[in-house]
Amino acid sequence: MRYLILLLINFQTIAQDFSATTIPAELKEKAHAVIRNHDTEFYVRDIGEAVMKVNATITILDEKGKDHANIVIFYNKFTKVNNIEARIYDANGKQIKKLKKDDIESFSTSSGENSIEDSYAKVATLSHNLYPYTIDYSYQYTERNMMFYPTWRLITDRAEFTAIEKASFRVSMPKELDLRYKEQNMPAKVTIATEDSRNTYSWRINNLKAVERESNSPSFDETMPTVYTAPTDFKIDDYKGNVNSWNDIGKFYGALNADRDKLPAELTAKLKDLVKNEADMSSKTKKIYEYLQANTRYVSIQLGIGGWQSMKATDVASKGYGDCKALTNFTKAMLKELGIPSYMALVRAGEGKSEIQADFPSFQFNHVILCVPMPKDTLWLECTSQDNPFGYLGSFTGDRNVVLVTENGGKLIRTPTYKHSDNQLLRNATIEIKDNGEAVADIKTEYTGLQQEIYAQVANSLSSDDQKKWLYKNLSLPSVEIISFSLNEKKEKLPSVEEKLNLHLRNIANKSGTRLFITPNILNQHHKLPVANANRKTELELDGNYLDIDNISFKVPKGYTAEYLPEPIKIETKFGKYSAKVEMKDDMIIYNREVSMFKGRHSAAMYNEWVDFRKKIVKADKNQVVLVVKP
Amino acid sequence: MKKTVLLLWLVCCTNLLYAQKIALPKIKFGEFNMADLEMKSYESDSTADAIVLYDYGQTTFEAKGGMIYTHFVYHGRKKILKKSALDLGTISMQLLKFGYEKDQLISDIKGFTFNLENGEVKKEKLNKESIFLEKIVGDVQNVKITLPNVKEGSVIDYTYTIDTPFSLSNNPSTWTFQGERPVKWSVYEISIPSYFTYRLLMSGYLQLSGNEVEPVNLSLGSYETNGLFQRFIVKDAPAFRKEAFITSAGDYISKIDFELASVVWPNVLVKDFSLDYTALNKTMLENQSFGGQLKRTGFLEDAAKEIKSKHSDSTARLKAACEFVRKNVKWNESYGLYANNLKKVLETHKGDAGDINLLLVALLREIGFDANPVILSTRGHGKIHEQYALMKRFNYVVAHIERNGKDLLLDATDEYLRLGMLPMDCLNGSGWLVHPTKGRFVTIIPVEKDVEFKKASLVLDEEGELKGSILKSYAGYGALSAKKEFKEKGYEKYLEEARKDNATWTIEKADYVNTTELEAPMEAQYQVTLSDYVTKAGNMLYLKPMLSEGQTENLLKAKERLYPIDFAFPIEETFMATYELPKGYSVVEIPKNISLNLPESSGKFTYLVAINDNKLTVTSRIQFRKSLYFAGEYPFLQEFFDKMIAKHNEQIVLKKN
Repeated sequence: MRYLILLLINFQTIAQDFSATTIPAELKEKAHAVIRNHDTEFYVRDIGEAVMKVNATITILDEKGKDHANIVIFYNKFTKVNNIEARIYDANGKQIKKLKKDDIESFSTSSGENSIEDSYAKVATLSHNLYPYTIDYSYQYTERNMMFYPTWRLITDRAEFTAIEKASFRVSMPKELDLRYKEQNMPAKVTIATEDSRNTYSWRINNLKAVERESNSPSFDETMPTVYTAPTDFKIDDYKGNVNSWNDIGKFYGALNADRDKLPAELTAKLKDLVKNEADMSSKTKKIYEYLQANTRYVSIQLGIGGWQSMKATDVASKGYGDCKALTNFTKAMLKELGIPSYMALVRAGEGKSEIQADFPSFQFNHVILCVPMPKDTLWLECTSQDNPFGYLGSFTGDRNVVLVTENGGKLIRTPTYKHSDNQLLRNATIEIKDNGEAVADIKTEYTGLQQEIYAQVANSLSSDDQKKWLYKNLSLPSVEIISFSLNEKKEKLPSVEEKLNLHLRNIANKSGTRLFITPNILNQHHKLPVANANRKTELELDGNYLDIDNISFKVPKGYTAEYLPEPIKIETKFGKYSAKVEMKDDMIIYNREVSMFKGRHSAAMYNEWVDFRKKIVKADKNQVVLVVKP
Repeated sequence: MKKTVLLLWLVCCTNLLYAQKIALPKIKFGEFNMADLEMKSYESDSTADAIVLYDYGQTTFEAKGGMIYTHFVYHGRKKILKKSALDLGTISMQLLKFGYEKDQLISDIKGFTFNLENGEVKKEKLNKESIFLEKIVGDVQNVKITLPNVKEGSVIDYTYTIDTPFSLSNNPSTWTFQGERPVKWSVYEISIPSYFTYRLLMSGYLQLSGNEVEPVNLSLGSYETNGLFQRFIVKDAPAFRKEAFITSAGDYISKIDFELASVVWPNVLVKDFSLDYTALNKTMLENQSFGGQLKRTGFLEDAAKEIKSKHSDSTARLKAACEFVRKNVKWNESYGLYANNLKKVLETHKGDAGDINLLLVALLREIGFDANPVILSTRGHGKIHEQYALMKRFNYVVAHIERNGKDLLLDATDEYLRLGMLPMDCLNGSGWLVHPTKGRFVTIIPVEKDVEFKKASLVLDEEGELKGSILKSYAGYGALSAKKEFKEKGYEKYLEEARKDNATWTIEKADYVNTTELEAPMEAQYQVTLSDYVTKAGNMLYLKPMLSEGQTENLLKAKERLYPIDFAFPIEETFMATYELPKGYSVVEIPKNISLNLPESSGKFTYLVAINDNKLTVTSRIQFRKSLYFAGEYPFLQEFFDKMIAKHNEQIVLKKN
């Protein structure tokens, strides 16, 4: 699955007193770089053009702050970079270098071989071998894509350990245009100055100490000072629009893509023939989805307005390819011919991507999917994949807010969520241990929902040789040989993959003299542990959302008796549940383990409790059975 | 002229052991073969998601507007068998654009997609709008061609022509007979006018199915000349699959390479280029960005003087020279062979490996050493050929001096490289010493091993808890990576990683010693409480004496192996633990002592347990004495690991009296 690239104005690297000696001590604590002075101005000339100016002075304290020495300016057809100036100063504030034109390189930021895009970046690196040193730079560019106004956030996830001495952000608007904005974690509210025919909105941050992102904590996108801005009225190319609500966004997008859903008569006839034996809407839609998957391929084409306007459905029909907008529009067009209404939905796609600002309507999306309302249920279709199960969204676009583009404008709704029990691992295994400690294992595992995604990907994209290699890499068993294996997909709304493994194992049971040691949880051990932290500051964010059930029986060689069997364990917490038990019946050892993990967010105070829970699991997973030769 | 032809012939004879004519398939652009369209899977490789039915390239030389171009015509026909190969429908290329007359040009792009629909063949043409010539950025232009209606079962057929201005460095591009997908027919033809002599070099594991050479008459603009036409055919090439522990796929894939050896232009110019290593040596010495740089070392005079006045001993001077370069020039993490301006490198404080190590050679010379550059190829870049001097095979340079009849190789890119130690990626067989009179190959032998030494002193109590100290010491390549990691992470993060890696340890105190000392091994010292390595059951205690430091997983998983196992350097791992047992407990069962050897003593594993009163000592020592093991030694290595794992997992049984 792929997505279209939206061009967000990027000013992640920012960049004044040029001497490093005047930095207040508290700003140097934990810091690899200190933003001495940073000023961003977004000067809106009119509805269709703005000038962005950035001035920055940054002291880089040590090598780990060197990311700040990169100036990166993204540009495309709508952006014209006017000038870039930069200087480097040593620790005492003496100028040692001035950036020359030759030092600025340009790159294509096209996202891959299978994509055709007109997006580029200018990059300059201001490096020096002696720390600390200070860089001072400024650049400006003219922007003619006014769908997007800047988001101002100097401390991003990639800029941990950065302190801010002084920073400011201004948006200057002609009086006839309104600015919309949202402040998040800002120490002070906006000040608005009115002069002549303009309103200027200003924000400031002073003396912000460096912070480190704690493990399993919310993204800096959510916790750091941020100002989101957006237009009310805007223009891009010859298209005008306005945004005050999600409804407006849907209207603009709908208008931009209006009348692009005609199909060739020949194709319509073919489709009608294709579904003639299908009784209900759902099965008709499925046929269409299968037709789409068999007859088109994904090629990312993002040129100028084409980054937001879809290719015509007739072109997709004749060429057989398109990007997410094009393929979604094409599917919508096909369904329309059969009398099935459907709606494009704008989404921020990607696993683990932060949520869109639902209370701040603006263009925050990078992908499009299709929503097909059904009498009982709603169907969601991912149109860029040739092997995605019908109706399944998964980790790429599931469980998040999207904007539905309807004939009456946009509507904010949420895509389906997958419960922890939807994402299962259910395993039944028999392992026969021989006298010499070697073993033969028959393992059947069913993965569903989010847990099956990686397996489905392996089954679909790798040759059987490479699937085997992948399995070898992912089986963390001491010495293993795969005798046979299979991966079978069930493409349903809640899809699953059944994995069958027949293995030959060595060193699975350890023989020491008259004893045999077996760790029954050989296939699903938790190893890594978060580190306890008594001074935890940020909330605990847990992403895992699944249920694992392992049933393993071991047949052991004759003549042994149990010297030690671990006690059954049951742990229940608000983060998840764990239980494990092991029994011995004749020459069989039977092991059952059940683990549930819940997605959620908890207070910082709960963090150590969670670490403790995880610790108990790690310990319990290593419990061993001791067998001894019968006297 | 005669000499040139003869020379080429010789090259051909030595590279291609036989010449053989075979019938070419009748494949014409824009036509189709019903059998290809009906094909559902490929017999020779059922796992293939696509096959290349025909891969044809032809290179000729053309004169246009006073310029000479290498004229390359490509024709490819591919069958899509599965959806995972749909990406083949988009052809992506990069053209080099150095401006005006130096630009690569593409022309004659044509293509068709063939589909079989209800028994009927549908032929669809590639439209002009589906050819995307992107904006030139830097020196590069991306060209993307998207063929229409490519789906499971399609056959795509396309052709294009690329003209490249003739220059010394723009050799005809490498032709590979093998790729990710099986290739039914790979045919490459080249016609070379006698003005140019190219060295052609075949490499890889496949045999040529056909090979023809014949003298021909050629014209180049208004010049008529003779030349050689050659054709190379490989039939039914299997898909190339990568294995673990190999240096670079390029060392194993079948291909043909070209390098300009000489130019003989009528009445004007006769020039030889790296015809052999002597010539390559000469070319390098004359190159302004290589040998030329080493002629102007005056700017280093002061630095050299200072080093000389501070140090009298030659080892100390060598170390000081490396340190001077390291401290003053920050490596930009790029490899390289050349330097454009060493003085500027020192002023801007940054450079690639070429800049840094040539600067080191220059400084060593200024100090008075007979220092020279050694050029080599990194592991990821592939092996060099000792028989054939192909300049593009080299991508890295280090400094060389001879001491007591031995070669000493020096690299100043990384601050944790001890004197004589090269980065792991440089340990790739051999390099070439560029020297005015004594140019030769230099074998690259790692002077350091990867050494890890771990020592635990622990007291066991009746509850099964262990308390005491664990020390981990890293030397040689182990120290290089440990110090780099420590520098990158810093004390807190490094400790946090140690806590994560040893999830059940309670680390009360952690010290890291010699984290920046170049000469000493780095040590990690921990005070710990461990509750995870002993199982208590009634009056019994079961102790895992290797803690979590033993081998638990055999990394050599594949049943068989075609290529050597390349560790880069010898490895040595020692673990020594002393356990003080609780009072009143005696040992019921202990693992047997063992000593295992690999054939010819190329590796050794010993495991010893000793009891002395209430003290139990466990020692495990693993040695791999060679850097590289041959495929034939694979089963021994695999078994060696298995036995080691079995031993490392054994436990000690204690019982209360």
